[in-house]
Amino acid sequence: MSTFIRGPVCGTDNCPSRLWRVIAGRRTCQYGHVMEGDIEFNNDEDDVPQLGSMTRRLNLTTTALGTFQSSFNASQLVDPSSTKEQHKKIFGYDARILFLKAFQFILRKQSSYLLHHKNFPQEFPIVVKLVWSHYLKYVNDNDPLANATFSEDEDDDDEIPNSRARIRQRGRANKLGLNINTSVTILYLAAVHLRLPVYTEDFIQWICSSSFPYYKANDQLPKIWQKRLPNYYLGLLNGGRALTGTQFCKKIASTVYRTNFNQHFQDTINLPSLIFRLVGNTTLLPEFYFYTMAMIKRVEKSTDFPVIPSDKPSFNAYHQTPEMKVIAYFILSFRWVLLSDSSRKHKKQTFSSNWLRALKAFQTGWQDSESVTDDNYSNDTLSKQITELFSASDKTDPIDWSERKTLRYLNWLQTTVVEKQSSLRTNSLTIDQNIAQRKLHKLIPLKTDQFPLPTTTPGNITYVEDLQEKYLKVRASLDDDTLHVDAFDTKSNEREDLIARLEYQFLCIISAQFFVPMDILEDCVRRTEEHCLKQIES
Amino acid sequence: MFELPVLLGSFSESQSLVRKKLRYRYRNEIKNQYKRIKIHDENGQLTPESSHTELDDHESRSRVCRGRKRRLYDLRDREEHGFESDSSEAQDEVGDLPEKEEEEIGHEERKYFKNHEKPEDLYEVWHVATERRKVPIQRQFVSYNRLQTIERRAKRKMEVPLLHVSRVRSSEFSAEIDGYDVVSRGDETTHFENKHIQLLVTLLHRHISTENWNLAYKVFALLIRMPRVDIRAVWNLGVAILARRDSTTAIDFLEWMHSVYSNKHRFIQNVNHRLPPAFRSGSRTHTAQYTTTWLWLSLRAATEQAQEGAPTTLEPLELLTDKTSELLLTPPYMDDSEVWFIYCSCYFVKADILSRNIHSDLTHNVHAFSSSTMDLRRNEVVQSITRCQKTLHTAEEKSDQARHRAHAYWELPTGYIKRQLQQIEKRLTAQSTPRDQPSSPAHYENYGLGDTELAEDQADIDAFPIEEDNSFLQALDTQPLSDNFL
Repeated sequence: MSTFIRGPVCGTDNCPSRLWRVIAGRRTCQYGHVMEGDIEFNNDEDDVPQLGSMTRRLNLTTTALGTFQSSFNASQLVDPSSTKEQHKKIFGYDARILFLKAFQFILRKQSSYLLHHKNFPQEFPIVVKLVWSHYLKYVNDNDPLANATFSEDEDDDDEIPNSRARIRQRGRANKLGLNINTSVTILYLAAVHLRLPVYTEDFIQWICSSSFPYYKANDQLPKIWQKRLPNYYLGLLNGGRALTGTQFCKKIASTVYRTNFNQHFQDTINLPSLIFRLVGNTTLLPEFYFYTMAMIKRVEKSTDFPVIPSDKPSFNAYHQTPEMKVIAYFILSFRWVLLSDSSRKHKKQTFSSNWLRALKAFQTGWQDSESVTDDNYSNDTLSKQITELFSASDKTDPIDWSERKTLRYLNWLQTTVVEKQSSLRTNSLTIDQNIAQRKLHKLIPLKTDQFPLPTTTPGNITYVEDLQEKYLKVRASLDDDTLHVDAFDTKSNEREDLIARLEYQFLCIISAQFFVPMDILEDCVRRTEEHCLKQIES
Repeated sequence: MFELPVLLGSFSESQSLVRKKLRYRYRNEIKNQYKRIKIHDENGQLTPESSHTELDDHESRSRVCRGRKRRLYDLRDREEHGFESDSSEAQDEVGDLPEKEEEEIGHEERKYFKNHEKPEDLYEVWHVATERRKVPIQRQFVSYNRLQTIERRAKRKMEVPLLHVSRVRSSEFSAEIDGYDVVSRGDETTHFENKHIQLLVTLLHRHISTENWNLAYKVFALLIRMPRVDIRAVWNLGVAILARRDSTTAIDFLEWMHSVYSNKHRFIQNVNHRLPPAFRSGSRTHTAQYTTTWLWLSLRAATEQAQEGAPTTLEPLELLTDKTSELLLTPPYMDDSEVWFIYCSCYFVKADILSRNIHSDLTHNVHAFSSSTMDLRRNEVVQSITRCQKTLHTAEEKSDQARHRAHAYWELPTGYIKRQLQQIEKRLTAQSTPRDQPSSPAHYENYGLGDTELAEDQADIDAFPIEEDNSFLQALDTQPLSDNFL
């Protein structure tokens, strides 16, 4: 005779049983799950010997709060309060206003970072505000929700035969065109207005080395805003991936167009310091600064390189952007000065081949020499190392990193990413997960005596000292006798070859620094060359 | 170079999901087309006919006018395959996608893999050739023209989903279905977190391979602190590093893994796991790898401690025995012969050590202990021996059961253990008879998994239990007590 009683579905771990019986006063299902909160004291003494032979153990775990639960259920782990907050999201016009507010908030954070950490002038935030207000004016004039131009849009749709284009256009009409990159361009433009010696390169480097509020910037918003903003807008404010040079150029062009920057602001970039920096980075002789300047004056008739406006999504006139233009002129002046130098055979060469060879040797040995240098590295080299990771022309494989370089990177990661993130992350975990996490971190601390590691501290080499050292190295390799080959002057091919190789190397360096792919850079140089030749002809 | 140990839901993830979705959707569409013309491609795709027939197709196409040609091919197909010819193309243009399939568009991959078995205790998808699942090799041919028709129709069905993906993705897709290999820009991710995680994983592998444990530890400690990293994908590397210095940390870490990730849900065939489940998780029917590794490592540590000789050192062994016995009450472990075998080994080690103590006491000073104490101690050993035999028997049963179900199973060194137990029994009474030399550790070679498919598991097991029991046996050999007999 069955002692089971039909009852409700057990449900523990998806247990399908409906049959229940009483074991030792507790209601137990067919598969041994005990019904929660149901204890029955069995007074019938007759049943006891009959049921006493059955024993089952229940797997009980404790929750963080000390109460028992039969097993972990996914549904139990989810915090019930989080589901309610889903409904707090706001949409439509309100969301847009909040999004603009959030954008402004991040912009303010970023400009204050530049002010305090990068020694920007006090006036900088004011200029940022001005540029932003111009952008807001554009947003106001082109707000599709405020103008309510839906009917017109639909008329337009019929004219577009391609359905793909229709989808695209409709999507674009509803967008503000704002994202985290826009804020970086606004900062850049403000710097241009003040003629500060910062360029796209610097911004990208700051972004990559994670000190600049860009990556996961939406985490820095006030909690209430984060909860209320729709995820789409939050995603726009989350700089997930590194900004590339070409993207940056495109975004700058569109922001220039939207803020009408050329009319309202001082729009030419700080030319001399950019050329100086290029000369310094490539360890060329200082004469090349003047050559480049002279060439620009000759061809362009002025040294004003304004930022260009364009709102086309298919913008690809990178050779017209001021930075690229200067780079192209610099490369061309290097090439042409050296080539024309060699053609004057009756005179003594201004730039000897020995010097070229030494430069080449220095540039190729650059990577090795850096790893050999002492622990006293500068913060600049560290951020360069990290920027290299994200750059398109990534030549150094992390597998080949020296131990010191690896350690430098790991320490950086620990201080900037891991420790910063950990405080943010713990908020999103449940109390159980939090405890488990903490236990794990205690079990595997970042530093133990079992695995000792040498400590490294960033030195304080300034940019000037670094530059000096580089030039000294070039000088030292010039004295190296192995590089001296007799009768090289007769072989003019060798010299041209050297020049071409050096040019390629410089392009590599610049492409890594400015985050621009090599092909685009080469294209810029080619186009500028054509332009120069045309100018000279006419 | 290495796969990212991250959970779902990143940016690059969504991109690859789009790609996967398109691919599987196309594959399912092709399958549907085959089904429509009633060709079964359950066990692999059909082979198109050789290229000279393709040339014939072209020639005939130029010769025969279109209407006649089709009839001709239909006839030929009917002759060849004995199938009904396909319905006219007009019907196909109506777009007779069943409504049910519309619903499942989001799960194209799942739908595709429904026809594949995914054993959870193995690393890869195996088309297991058990008696039950035997299928003949696909030998049918499909005419080239017909294949083209099928592909054309499937492509037409893909037009709508392709409308909504980016241009890059759609051109990539069309190149892929034309049989080109799309050269991706490497696994280069530009996403901040992923980039750093990728770098950390590369560094981790590099420093483990060069045995630079200090750096490897640091990398590992950082990696588990990175957001979204799933520790279940890197726990094995972590244990390898931790065990290098101190086995207790490794054991603690594994215990943590066991207590936090003790998943007792059912293994669901329909879910396509991004990372192989075999090493990453357990389920109601599958013991997690970190649990068994934890047990083996703690058995090894306990054995080492017990051999030191102090009377209290049996404590960790007894603790382990208790833990294992508790585990054996719950589903995944109670059917796992490996866990049963560990349980058996606990008693085996205990019996061995206790009997050794008795033996040395007997030979050194025979009259030091009263007979009642000696009896108690003997009883303890006998108890351990019987428990060991009992659990060994259970382990054998479980292993047999697994073998019948064509799962991975253990071939247990039953004979060896039984022989050893006999010798242990002899020790209890052997006061003056010279002690038998224990058989050589080579006997342990028949230890381990019988299933040759599980080479990786084998290696894993080779690394821990065998070595450790060997050392235990060798230690037994070199005990000074054997010298006393001579």
